Amino acid sequence: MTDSEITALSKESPQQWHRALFDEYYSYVYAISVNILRGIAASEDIEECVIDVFASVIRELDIGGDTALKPFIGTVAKHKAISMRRSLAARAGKCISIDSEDFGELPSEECIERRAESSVMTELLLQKIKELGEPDSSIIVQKYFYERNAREIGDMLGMSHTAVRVRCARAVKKLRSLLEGTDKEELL
Amino acid sequence: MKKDKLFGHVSDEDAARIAEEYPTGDKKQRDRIFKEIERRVEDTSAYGDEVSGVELYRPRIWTKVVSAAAAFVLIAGTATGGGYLLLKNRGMEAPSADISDTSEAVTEEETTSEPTEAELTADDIIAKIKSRDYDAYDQLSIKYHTTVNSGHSCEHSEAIRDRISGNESLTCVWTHTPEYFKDLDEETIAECGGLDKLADSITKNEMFMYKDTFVCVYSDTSSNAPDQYEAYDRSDCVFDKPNVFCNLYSEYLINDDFYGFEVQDMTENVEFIGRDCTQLVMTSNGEDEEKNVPPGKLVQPITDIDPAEAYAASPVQTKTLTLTVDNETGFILAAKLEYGEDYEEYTVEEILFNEDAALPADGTYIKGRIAGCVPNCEDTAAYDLSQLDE
Repeated sequence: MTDSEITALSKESPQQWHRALFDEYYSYVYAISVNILRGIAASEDIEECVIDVFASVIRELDIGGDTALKPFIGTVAKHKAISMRRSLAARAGKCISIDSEDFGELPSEECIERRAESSVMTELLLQKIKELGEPDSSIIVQKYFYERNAREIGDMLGMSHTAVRVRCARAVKKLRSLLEGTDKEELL
Repeated sequence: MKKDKLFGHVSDEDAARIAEEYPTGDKKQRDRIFKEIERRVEDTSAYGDEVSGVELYRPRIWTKVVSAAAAFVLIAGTATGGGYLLLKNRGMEAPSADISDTSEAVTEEETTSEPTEAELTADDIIAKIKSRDYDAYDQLSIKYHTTVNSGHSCEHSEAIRDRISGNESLTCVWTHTPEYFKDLDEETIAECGGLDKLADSITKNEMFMYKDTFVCVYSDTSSNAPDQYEAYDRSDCVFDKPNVFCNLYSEYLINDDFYGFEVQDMTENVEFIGRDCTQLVMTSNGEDEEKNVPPGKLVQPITDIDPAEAYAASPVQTKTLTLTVDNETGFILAAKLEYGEDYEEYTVEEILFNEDAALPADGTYIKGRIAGCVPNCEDTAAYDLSQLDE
């Protein structure tokens, strides 16, 4: 569905407009949110962030204007996720035990803007994941990018969680061989 | 393998591509999330302007506050004396967490219905104050003035915070009456041109917490010398821990847990700077303080006299603390502490949230501000200010 088709729905039915907007951009918003919140937020926090983003977009979007939806939604998602990350980091900073293994990592985690973005490596990684074929590629992405557990992945892909675990283990082994010689190999 | 290591932080474009090629969430999960979005959008429509610009995590925080407060009232059985118990119970956090869990069913029902401000008790207001959350707003700016020494010393300030960029600023301007300087020795007063001239001088500190850098510009109208500035690593700065609002007079009162004060009176529906507030009148007879307050505890009025010295010298006297509390945020918007013939007063003149709030100065402004200033020491002169160019 195009942006103009989605926006046109706002005149007919606000709820249909909301739903179309949500269906079209849910994965996009989720991906941006999880990308920023990974490692610090629970799945409930990520869902909360996604809800927050869509509620803000619906409230603040100038329907009559010619705002391009994807950049607008992406910007809102990024800001909300960064805001939540800082909030979670601050709370963790207040409560975290000095014995926790994450204790020393907190300062670097807060420097979100300074994180190195290795697009070339991501490109390579995605290419190799794709070479795994379905459903293995989806299992790897859902597990390692979206941080979903085997049960959630099973529900999405119509598989049992045991089957997801088995396939995931095999897929990781295969991916390791495909990434041999790259920096990403060490992470598998 | 740790789940967050394989992908690390990918670019927005790559995240968008992953979302396109590998969409996530089954229908059940999507429906649940969409239902919650619709509920929040509808709630916003129903409340109209009242919640516009409010950070969306607020409902969760609000629920916790109402839960804790409502549960406390349920268990205490009565609002009378609740404030006293709360004030005496310095370990507030643990009991409220337990209580809110055990009464979840009750409180959930209450929070889904329309809030009824008339049901607020003094306990609720105290709980709100303690649950105030500056993190609930992406941007927040507060203009306020604080008067101490019974009106002889006045501080006009503006604290600004942008959670998104992490930058903050705090500007403080101090003025004094001639009375304030009367205890100085005659020689010093003469050197400065007399009491009236001293009182005419205005001292100003402009503090900028920009990225990892802290810069403070000191200016004083009593001197013709150029303004001075100081710069050092922000992590060494004490004015933003945990955020720039830690310097508010009200925060000192709260951190002291209103020690020794009991709620005597409460007035609802008080409008203050356009916000719906509740006024609490609290008193302390000072006896508890004498027995229990550890040295250095900031229960004494904030004066220029050493608190310990003042405390030992002053007779036990009744103090009255009047608080004006914002019902929505739990922020103290006005406070007046009266003791004998003296008083201290804190008043918020303007509070702005999110898109309405003032923003902290950017690097360009700070660079321009220190352009005509001199560094206050060699370390400042050598400090790397390249972050201001980023």
